[in-house]
Amino acid sequence: MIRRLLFPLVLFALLVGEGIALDLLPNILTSAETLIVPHWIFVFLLLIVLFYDNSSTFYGVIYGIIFGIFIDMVYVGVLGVYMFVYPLTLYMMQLLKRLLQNNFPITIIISIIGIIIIEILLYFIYTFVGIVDVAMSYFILHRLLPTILANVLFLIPLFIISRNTLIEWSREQLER
Amino acid sequence: MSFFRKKSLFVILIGLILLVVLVGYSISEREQLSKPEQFLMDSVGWVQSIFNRPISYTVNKFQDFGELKTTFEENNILREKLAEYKTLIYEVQELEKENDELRKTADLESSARDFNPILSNVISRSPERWIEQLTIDRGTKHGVEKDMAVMTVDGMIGKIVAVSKTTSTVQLITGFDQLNRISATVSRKKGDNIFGLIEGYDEEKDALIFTILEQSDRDLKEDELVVSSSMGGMYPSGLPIGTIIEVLPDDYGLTKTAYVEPAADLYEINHVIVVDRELSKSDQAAESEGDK
Repeated sequence: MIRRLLFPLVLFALLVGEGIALDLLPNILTSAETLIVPHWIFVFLLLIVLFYDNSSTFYGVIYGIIFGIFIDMVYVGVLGVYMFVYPLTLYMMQLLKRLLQNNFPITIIISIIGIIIIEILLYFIYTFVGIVDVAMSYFILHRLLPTILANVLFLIPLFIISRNTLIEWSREQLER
Repeated sequence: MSFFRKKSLFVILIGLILLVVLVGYSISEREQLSKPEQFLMDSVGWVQSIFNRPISYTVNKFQDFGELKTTFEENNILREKLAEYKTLIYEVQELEKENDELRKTADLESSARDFNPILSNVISRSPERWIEQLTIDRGTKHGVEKDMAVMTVDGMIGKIVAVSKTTSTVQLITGFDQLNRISATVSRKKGDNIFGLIEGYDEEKDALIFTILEQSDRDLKEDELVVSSSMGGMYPSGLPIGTIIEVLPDDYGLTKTAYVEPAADLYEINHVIVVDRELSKSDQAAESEGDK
């Protein structure tokens, strides 16, 4: 039972951490030029999708809906954006998982694809709603690339820590 | 399998409709946040304020070590400045006294400059960098209301867009759009002030856009200070906004646009002051009575 509560707790901690994270980075990285967006919740949910979920369970996607709307409420103020983008991307990743093996390089590649999809969806939604007005090239150079790099850097330690535990729990809890 | 595909397509479609509905709902001008939003903001804010203090303490300590080198020089300069301030304080006190007396004789109770400061700490910054927002640890409980101006010691940084019980969200001036214009002036002697509006933020120039409404005889110069004015009815007058770095004629050649560098550092904000206008309350009361 406690283990079931652990996912929401970790995700909540990541939600809180995302807001503080930018204060910890050195100023050069947080200036207007490079926009690093922490997608920690997505990164952790991606690991859940890849290593915990099997093809008929959707824990990652469901948590994606719940914590997506939390991000919207706390940090964005425009409801529905992350709530739509996160689960959709996670679902795509779950479909993609069937075609590929689960090892370290593949995980990195999948996470990069995921973050690209998220960022592009966010770019289109925000442009459509009228919150941002930046050129595509500016977006790719100043936001997409730094964001991918930062989140992959975050993924690596998280992958090492949680991979085996997730696989083990998946066996215990889902394959009964 | 085909049934499953259909189902997932169906779910995605519902999600899309939900997205449009929710975005439409939340982007419209809302007076108050809904209850679940307030609750979540309070609880996240509470956890963040617990973590924020030790973290910012250690971060600041590290920065302090870095600044040790320049401390000596800085100290000397500051000492000189302090001596200047002492005489200034005396002058200010005298002026304030005089001002008060004059006000009494003129029967004016509060001026557009008066405000109650609500001091508060920044507990988080939105990870969504396009949404230029901060969360601070003061809310309705402490008297913060929507649309109040927010400043640091250096100058104005934004306004309150949403409040919950113990936290509130600040939109930075870099995130302002056409709907959130700030009326501002360049203050000059002899009354030929220049009035204008801060109309937004230029990402590439990294500066605020200041459109001049009323042309004064003399042109704007660089390095002049732009301060907020009470003409817009939202902010108290006299909050420093920034200094002019470039003046350009606008597309039609009729007015001029100046680029203003914000006075406050918008990336390193730890403590802010929420400006609770004394005047606005009586004004608003009068207005709402008028509306009825």
